[in-house]
Amino acid sequence: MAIKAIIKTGKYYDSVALMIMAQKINRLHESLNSAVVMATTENKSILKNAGLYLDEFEKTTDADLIIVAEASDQQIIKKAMDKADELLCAFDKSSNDSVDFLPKSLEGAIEQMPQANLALISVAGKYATSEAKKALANGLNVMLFSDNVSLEDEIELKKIGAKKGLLVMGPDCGTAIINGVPLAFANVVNRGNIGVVAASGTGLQSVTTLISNNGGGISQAVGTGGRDIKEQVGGTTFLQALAMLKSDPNTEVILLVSKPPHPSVLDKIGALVKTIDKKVVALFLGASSEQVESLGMIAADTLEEAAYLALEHCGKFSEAALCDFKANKLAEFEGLQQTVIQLSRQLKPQQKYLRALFSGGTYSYEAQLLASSYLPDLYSAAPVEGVNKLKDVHRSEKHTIIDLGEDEFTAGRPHPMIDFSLRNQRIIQEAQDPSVAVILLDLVLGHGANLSPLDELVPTIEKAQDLCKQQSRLLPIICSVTGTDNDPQIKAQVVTALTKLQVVVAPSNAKALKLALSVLKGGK
Amino acid sequence: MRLLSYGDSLETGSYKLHSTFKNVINFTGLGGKKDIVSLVKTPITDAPNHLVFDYFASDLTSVTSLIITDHQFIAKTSRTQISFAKADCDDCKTYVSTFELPKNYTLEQLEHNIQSVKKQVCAYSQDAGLSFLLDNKTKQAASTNPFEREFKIKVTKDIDKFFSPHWIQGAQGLRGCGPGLTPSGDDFLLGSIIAIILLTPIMDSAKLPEINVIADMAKSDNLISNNMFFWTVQKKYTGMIKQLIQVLTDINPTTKKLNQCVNEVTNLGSTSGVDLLVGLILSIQRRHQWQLKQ
Repeated sequence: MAIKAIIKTGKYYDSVALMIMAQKINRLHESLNSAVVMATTENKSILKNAGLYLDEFEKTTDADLIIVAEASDQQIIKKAMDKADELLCAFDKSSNDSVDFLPKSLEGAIEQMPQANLALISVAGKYATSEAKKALANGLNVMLFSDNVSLEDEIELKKIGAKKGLLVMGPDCGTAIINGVPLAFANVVNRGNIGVVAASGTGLQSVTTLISNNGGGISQAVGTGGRDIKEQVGGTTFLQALAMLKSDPNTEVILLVSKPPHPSVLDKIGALVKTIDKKVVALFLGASSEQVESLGMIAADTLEEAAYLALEHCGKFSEAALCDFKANKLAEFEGLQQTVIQLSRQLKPQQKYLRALFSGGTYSYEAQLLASSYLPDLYSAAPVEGVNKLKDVHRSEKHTIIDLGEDEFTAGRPHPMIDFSLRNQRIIQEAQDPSVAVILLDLVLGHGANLSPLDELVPTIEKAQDLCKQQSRLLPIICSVTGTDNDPQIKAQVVTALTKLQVVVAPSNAKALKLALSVLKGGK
Repeated sequence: MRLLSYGDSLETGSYKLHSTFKNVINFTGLGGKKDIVSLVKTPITDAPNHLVFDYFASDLTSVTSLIITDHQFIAKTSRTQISFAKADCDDCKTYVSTFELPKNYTLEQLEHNIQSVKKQVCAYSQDAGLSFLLDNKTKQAASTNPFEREFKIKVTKDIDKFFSPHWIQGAQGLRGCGPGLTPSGDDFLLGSIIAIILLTPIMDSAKLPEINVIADMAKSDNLISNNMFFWTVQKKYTGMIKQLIQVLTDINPTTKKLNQCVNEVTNLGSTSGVDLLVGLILSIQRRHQWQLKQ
């Protein structure tokens, strides 16, 4: 057996660090025996009995640290010592950094940060209500990331919050940007004068990133949870947030995003909007523009349009700049359209169908709305009006649009924005189907999302392309990327890598869908 | 950075940097003085020798030396120095580390409360540190790691010796024994000292070991361990230990309060808090064995 040690004199590491170090070293190899201990006389006697003693320990004192490892061969020992060195360096660095202490209870968190005014709660649904109540009792606004909270509990929590003037964002609220801080699944966007209220997580990410990437900025972006705009909840949080943006001096334009609210909620929103002396852009996906406009709001039909309308009214751009902006966007789209038309001409006659595999629920919803009037044979796992329901969600039929974030797909696994495995399998499955003409994807970046999306997506796309090549087919893949260059994944790098793979990267989900339709229509 | 409170036992003098952790910077006296003064950030609690700053005192880690005078604290970094005049600290208060034990608690009540503490430790910290000593099943479980195996054998033997008339040898054996910056044996002995302090007013103290002797036996080159023994023997406690003593001597503490307090202690270090509680629990439960003839 080989044995080696490191002795650290005059260096102190806290007990947690020592424990982590011991665990990590022992996990390197099964034949490895190690100890990380202070060099006290008693510990040295234990090391002797354990067969882990070296003569060099003789001169050590109680205040020295011994890291010793024994293994069947020198290679493993070297690995262990390298790991120890690496960990010691990391601990040295972290003791100089201000690393957060992780509280283990809400009380502990409040004690640690008494000036906090918001609690982000992400615990199992059955415990979420009581934690949210505790937070509200302590005067904290709540962002409830947890799902599986009953409708009754949501209503009760929102009533408590409203009474105290506190927001309850959620349950199932996946994203928000408060005072420039991205919470949960959110992107690093510029600060600015556009305030967003959204009952749609992907919708909020989409509009905030489009605004930021095109020169605008966000004052606040409040998520409400999808059920907030239903009749029973009455839009409590949506209305509270809208009222807050109304009086926020840093917000000059307000952007509302959701599926169509219940008529009673929409009336309340309309009544409040009429008291607001700021431009209010609204995207109630699927609602009629006339109805929205009659309530004093500027209506948008797509997420992209909503973002651009907010930019148009934020006062940051001159008329000429806006004209250029629109012209550039049009030219960019026409360029992409030419590309897909070229691709569509290379398709085989049997390649007829669209397969859209989304990780963002709102994108799936928006795509269905936009595609349903063009594609009568459209299927989905969660169909909108006029779209057929899939018999088996794991098997596509004709034109299919699915959201892999739906409960049927996520049971027992992380959200597809984090874990790509299920969608990767589905991409391969679709690539093997000779009737598929185009695959449409979304890729959502930002905090909370998969930090290395390319590591998993690129090999899958390559494999799909190889499969098609073997059958002398071409399979166009179109993808929209939601994110910014300030996100941890850096959008520009992701776009470049996808473009290199011949993936058509669209500037928005709506444009991606339009490009996919162009493929199906062969440029007609 | 904002000074929130300072301990009541800080001695005037110059101090040099001893060790730096995420939320604690330790300084040791110049000129052979071995006492430790710590600059800490919340949520680390008060102690007789702590200067407690708010959590956002990010520049705390750049402090390299400290001077304490009768009227002010001067923290020096390599580039600058920051003074905190005691008189100017409006919100800042002196932390009183002493604590008078209530007069009306009984042995039965203490035993009852310690049983609840044991339950909580067994439920939530069953694999941590010395907690295996609280449960016969885990006590007998063999460890595959040779150091852990030998440590278990030694610590079990020394603890058995400690709970006997030969407790001095037991304490000597436990000193500096086991993993951790403050080795598990030291934390165990600290818990035992607290137990003896709690037992002294309610039983014949002649039947108990002397806490000064335990602390003397436990003295080593580990200044951090020495420091915790030094203050505890003088019955000067950290905020966390004061709370624990309060709960244990309470006639009928609520389960919530007791569990909260135990959880806070178990969060101390990787196993320090658990080891301390094991020392406390076993010392109260096995107190009769200090008088047994071997």
